[in-house]
Amino acid sequence: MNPRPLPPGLLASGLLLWGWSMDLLPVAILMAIIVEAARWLPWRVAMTTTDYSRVSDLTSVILAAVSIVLFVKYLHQGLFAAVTWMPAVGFLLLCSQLYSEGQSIPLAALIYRLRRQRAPQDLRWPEFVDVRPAYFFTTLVAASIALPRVNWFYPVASVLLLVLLWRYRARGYTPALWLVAVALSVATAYAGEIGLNRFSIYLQDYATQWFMQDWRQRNLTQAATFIGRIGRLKTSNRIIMRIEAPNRQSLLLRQAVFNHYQESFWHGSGNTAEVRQPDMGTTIWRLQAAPAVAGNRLTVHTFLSDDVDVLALPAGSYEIDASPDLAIYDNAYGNVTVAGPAGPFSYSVRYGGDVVRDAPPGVLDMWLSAEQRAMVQPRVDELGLQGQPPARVVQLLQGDFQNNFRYTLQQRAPAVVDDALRYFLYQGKAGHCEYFATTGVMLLRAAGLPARYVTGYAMTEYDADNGFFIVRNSHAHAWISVYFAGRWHEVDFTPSQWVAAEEASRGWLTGVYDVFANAWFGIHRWWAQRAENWTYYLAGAAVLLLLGYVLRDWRRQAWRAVWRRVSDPRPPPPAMAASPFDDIVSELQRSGAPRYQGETLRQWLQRLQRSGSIETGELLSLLEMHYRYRFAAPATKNEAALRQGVAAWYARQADDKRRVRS
Amino acid sequence: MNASLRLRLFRRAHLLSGWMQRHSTGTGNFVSVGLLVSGVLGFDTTRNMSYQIFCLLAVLGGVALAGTRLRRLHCVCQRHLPALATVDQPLHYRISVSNPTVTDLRDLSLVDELLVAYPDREQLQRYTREEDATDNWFDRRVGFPRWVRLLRLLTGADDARIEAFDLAARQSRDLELRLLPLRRGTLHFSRIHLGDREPLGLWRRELTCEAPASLLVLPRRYPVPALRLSGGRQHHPGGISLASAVGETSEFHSLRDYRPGDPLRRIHWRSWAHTGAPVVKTYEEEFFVRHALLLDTYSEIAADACFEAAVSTAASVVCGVQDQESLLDLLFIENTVYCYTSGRHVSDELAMLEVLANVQATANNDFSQLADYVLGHSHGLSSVICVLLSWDASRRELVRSLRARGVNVLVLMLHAASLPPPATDSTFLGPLADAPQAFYWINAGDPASGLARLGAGSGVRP
Repeated sequence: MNPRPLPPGLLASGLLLWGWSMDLLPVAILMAIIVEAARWLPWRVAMTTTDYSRVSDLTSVILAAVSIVLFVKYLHQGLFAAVTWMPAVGFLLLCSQLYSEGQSIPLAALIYRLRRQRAPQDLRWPEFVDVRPAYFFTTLVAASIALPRVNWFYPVASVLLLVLLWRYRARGYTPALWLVAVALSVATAYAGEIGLNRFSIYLQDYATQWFMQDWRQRNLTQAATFIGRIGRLKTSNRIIMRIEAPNRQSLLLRQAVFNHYQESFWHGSGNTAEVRQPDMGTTIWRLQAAPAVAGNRLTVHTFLSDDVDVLALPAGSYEIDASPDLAIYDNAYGNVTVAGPAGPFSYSVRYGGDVVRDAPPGVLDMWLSAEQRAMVQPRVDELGLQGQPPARVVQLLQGDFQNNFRYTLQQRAPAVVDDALRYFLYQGKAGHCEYFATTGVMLLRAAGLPARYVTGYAMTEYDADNGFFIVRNSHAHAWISVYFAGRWHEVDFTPSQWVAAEEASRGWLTGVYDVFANAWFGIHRWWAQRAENWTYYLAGAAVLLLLGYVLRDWRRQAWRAVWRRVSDPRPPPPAMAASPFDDIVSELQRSGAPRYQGETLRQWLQRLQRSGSIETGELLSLLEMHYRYRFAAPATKNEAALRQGVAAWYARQADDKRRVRS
Repeated sequence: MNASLRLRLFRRAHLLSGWMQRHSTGTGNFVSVGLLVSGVLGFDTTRNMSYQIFCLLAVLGGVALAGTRLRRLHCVCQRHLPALATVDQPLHYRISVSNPTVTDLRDLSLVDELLVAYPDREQLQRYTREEDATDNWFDRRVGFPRWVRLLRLLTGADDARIEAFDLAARQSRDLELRLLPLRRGTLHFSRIHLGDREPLGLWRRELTCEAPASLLVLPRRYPVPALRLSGGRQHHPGGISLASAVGETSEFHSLRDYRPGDPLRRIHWRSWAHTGAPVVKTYEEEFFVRHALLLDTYSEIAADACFEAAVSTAASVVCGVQDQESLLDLLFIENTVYCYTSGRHVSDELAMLEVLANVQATANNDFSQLADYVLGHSHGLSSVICVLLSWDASRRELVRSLRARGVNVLVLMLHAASLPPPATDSTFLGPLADAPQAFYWINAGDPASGLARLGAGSGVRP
């Protein structure tokens, strides 16, 4: 079997692309020469199915070995690496096709179970296959994995693939139509691949962040960070809190405090929570003694989940006013958690003064691993932090981060968690709040100051129309709590432009989302303060009924349309055609020359000849043509001659009858 | 997994596979596999650029799918089948396709679809084949290849197909198709699908013509040497009602004058009217050879290879011993005992083969019904050829009883290809211990070699 020839140079192009991507260009050039030389070299090897099977088995063994080695070395990344080596692994199999006499490979050589199959040949599958298109595709895929992200790959891969598909296009249409279809496809796919890439990143980030945020809100012992993650850090603009602040002052609302960092995770040791009881007969929980001067007041509207939630509170909070059916816990770091019925939830908090509830610094608040210390020490030395007064240390670091670093949600550093902070501190000098807070804590500790990592939200976006601050998921923030002068101070090393950068990163859909979110919030508030107003309920029920009726009617119409389409009468099946000779057989049987059961046509005609009832010489020659027409290969059939012969026989019969009558 | 759910999934998978085979071209399959591979490898778009290939292939597939709407086929198909086919023998037939439009059609494809017989749970449980041993662990566990094998067997053949042919405008042409019948019985053809490629050559637009037809597939036959069946002619009072006058079978012999004591029903009334004296008809009694071919149909396994080999053996014997001077009774049991007679112009070999094409195995191992019938008619039998699937007490007793009645017996005993036959000593042979030449082993995997030994001396050759 000779398969359809591939366009010249296509396999070589694929191999060169693969060689370029793998830095194996000389090897790829050699392979390309071997592949293309098969077009001109006259020598071919006579290979049996067993030979092909051996080559196939050898290829499989090499592929398995390469995969195992790479998997052991790089775990799941090794499987991708194995794909990049497949053109080299499958080269022998390709050559066995190109340089064999058969020019194709028996399917049984590739599929082991077919070799052992003793059943009749399955006509659904081809006996031979052409591995060249598959090999070419393998080179493309291997190159796509091995290459770094380059803009020219898509056009090159498209051109190569289309050259291959041109050879297999349908011949019943003009080439122009093919070109139009292909141009349309390439353009759409180009837009699609960009969109797909963005969508994929968005999905991954959304899933990761949804998981991590959800986790962060409920977990006081551990906080995952996005440190070390490359690509753009996508943040959700979902509104999670609405805060009424009479003084309209921006604040940081903290949720959790951590003191031990390891491999992109912050851990909080000793964050054991204790239950708090409200004041007798009131809905007020006192976290600590009130300051001498009354503090400010915030009212937070949010939603409770069906699990334990962490409250976002400003520093110095001393009193919470919430509904009575709650259980409130707090711990030594000032973290407050709440458990209550899921749904809309509002609470008021009083804060202010010099109230500091956090536990005094411990050993962990000064702890740095050897690697962490080695990483930050050059920077500490460079800034001259050692020996400086604590306030000066904080000031120097604040200035350094503000002037020499940049806030960004986009990371291009290599995705190695351990190196991400070093890269941030000495090379990239750009990152999001977690980078600033984490390295800040380490620098402060290296300079001899106890420091903790604080997570929470920044209350910066004021909605003047509705008169409250809006806190979104994207306002999630991290900062530092540093201890000096006998108390804890909160400092934020993230450059102040982060708020503007965060606002700029919002899409135009955020406004639309806000409208619906505010409406939903309004409904909830209304529901919470609902009166027994049956008019609304009746109107709502009427709207629902109307909607249901319209929907039902529409569905029925649709079903009727489908039913009509399915029940359309089918055209009657075409009548079976028969050999023209069958007419003669019927004619003779009608005229009183019955054919016995089991008697072949030839025996029948010979019997009629013997009995002298008819002259069958001509009929026997027609019978030969009939047999050929029915049983022989198409090339030897001559239907026209048979039809002519039958027509001539009928004409002769008619003449005879006329003669007899006359 | 629940068995019925699994069968439903198999059925869905088979339907999807059939749909893909009809609608997707080879290039389309290539693109589909490429789509899958690049999709898996490029799932994480931040890792590599395989997703770009995925996008291109996906859009090409989508555009090609839309391209199938560009042209609609208007063709007429007619299938021309021969009268009969034989198991495992390629069947060539033709389908006429005519294009009444003014458009030249190129790269058409045609699939002649058979009515698919989906196996039920019971059939699947009873179906075991030697091929099952070649399945890997996963296939054996899931059972899909086994299900497909049984499906193909029940359907009778794979769909015949022909690729890439052209059809000029206002022309018709005959296409020759090849089909390999996998089992005997009736093949039911259902529809003819004509496929037209879209411009990119990935998908086909389909025109379906309803063309129900059926074709009888005869069991496979093997060459059988001339059987020297011993046994004399037996008296058959009254002759054979449908026999014509051949050789010694001229039932009506002559007329003679009436003698007192002649039965009244032999009076030839017309001659009496002519002569005025009573005249009676005389008959010659018939003596001829009558063989019986007894086919054992007991098998618990669906599509049992041994049973199929037994049917083929019986068919080969039918073709081997047929002459017009003797009668052959084909005896077997399904729910009741069936007896078909041929020879001496009563029916013919083809009719017997048609009967054998439709014989079904029975799970009821009540051999006594068939034995009673054979023994009840043994007085007219010269010899009995038993094609047996087992050699148990009831079958031995039948052979013993037949021999005791003076009927010659030839036993053709089937054994599975994978199992060697047991030692055939005198204890094993039982009633045939004194005539081992009347006992032959037939290998179900290779009945031809067993049948070739018939008549070559002693038959007891494992």
